[in-house]
Amino acid sequence: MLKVAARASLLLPAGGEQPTSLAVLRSELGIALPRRINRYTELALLGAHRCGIAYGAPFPADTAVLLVSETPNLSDALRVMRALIAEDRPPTPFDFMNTASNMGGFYVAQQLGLSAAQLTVHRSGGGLQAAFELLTLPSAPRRALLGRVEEVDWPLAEHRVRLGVSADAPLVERSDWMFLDADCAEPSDWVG
Amino acid sequence: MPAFLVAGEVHTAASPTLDATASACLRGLCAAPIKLSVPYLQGQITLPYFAAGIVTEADETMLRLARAALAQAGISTSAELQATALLLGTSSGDVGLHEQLYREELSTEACGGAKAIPVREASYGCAAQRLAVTLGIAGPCYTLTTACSAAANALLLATQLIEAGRVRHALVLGTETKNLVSLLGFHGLMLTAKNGYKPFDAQRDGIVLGEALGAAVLSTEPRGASAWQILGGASLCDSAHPTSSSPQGIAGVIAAALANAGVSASQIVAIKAHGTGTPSNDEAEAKGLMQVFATAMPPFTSLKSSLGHTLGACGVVETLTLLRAIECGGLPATAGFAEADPALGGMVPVQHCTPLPRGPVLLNYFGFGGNNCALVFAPC
Repeated sequence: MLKVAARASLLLPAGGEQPTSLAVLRSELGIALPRRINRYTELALLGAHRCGIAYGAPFPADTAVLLVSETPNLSDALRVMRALIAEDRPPTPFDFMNTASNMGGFYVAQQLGLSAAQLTVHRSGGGLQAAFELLTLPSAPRRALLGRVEEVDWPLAEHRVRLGVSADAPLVERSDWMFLDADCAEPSDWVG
Repeated sequence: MPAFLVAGEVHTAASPTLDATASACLRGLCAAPIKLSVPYLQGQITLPYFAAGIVTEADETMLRLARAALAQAGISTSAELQATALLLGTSSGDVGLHEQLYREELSTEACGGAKAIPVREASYGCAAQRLAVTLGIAGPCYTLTTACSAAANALLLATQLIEAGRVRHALVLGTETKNLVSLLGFHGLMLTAKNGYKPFDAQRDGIVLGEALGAAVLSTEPRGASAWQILGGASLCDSAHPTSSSPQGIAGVIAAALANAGVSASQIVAIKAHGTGTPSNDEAEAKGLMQVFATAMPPFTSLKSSLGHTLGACGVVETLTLLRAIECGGLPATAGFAEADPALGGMVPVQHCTPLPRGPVLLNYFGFGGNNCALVFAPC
């Protein structure tokens, strides 16, 4: 049984020709984000910071970060591939670094001062279940920040083809986080 | 309940089998990297590369390795396959295949065909689940993408699943195939070697990438001809820098792994360093090792100058290769090393195949994103 000490969600319906600006969300949180991060990492950080506000205190340093996603940093990966294959243009150093699947979790750990394990886990259509299985192992950390982050790539018509959904299927970007603490005296929820 | 590494198979640039790969490392006979010509800014550049020729046949090759490893372990009945988990560690996933498909779609589009779309399958978890279905594995599937420590983290989680009694066996796969994003990405970061692959050498100047696949089977009991117990390990986040591990972070994960394994530093008989050959990684690793082992440094080596840096696959590929090499003769020499670096405090990797006393060995794996993992194995 996992004790949920805090949780927060960020949902951004994806429509129109361009991604929704994250500027308002940034200013609401009043935080300085690292330079040269991509949209996926920014979504991860905004969601994790919201979870921190819901918790009302800094997360303990021994909190692990477990991030689940179908395809992290997809937009950067696609941009790099389009440039590389269609234009023979190599990735810039930051473009390449930002394609690494675990960068979202890294920046969450760095910005929140966390030094336990930081893992990015995938299971097609079942990432959260996979994460819960791992977090209920006897060897699992006593505290973990569990996030599920998904971004959308524009143009949306191409992305719907990629996802195998209908041409009018609604798309959403999301960053859902929960802080799980085995020592929490007053959990807001239980999982298990 | 303890966990044992009971079987494995690899396909590397050195050889399509584990025995031959380990033998080549022991005898210093691994092939030199090829000169790979890749498109670059409307022209071509040449990069060194340890090629194994498995991009288009990656799924078939992985199935061959997985079936061989499962057969070695004697896992064949549906009951046993139902009690088997599948964990896959990778850095670039299917990017090489997606690059090829996108290039083909662009050619079709240029001839008036449908619009080309890069990456038509947007889920990192698909490959593991496809393999599980084909192999008849009915236990849980996990895909880990923690850069160069991905397959090592998969080994650690598989160990924990077995120790907890969740599964009886685990098939742990590591995969890394040739792709332009990785080749030109590391080149852009100025991390690619220009003067040969020389981990821990004073003249080292970077990595040489390689492709490899590996399949390891972990089980609740020793099986087959050889078995190593996984005494423990640790995975910690070093948030000092997104692409460089710090000495403190490295020392921390090694100390945590030794504590988890119930082993003291003085009991370790050998170390497989991560040993990427970049100036900063090798210096940080040397300093981290010195913090833990002080003046009693066990013999250590890097396998990357023999196999290439196989990124997300190296956790499985290097673990299997090292342990088989130890069984067959000792700790392989670090190919390419010739000159000690004063900045590494006198740390010199083994330069000849070195027989080892029986005892626990430490294996280090570090990745972008601060993902550090250390594992401790002991012969049964």
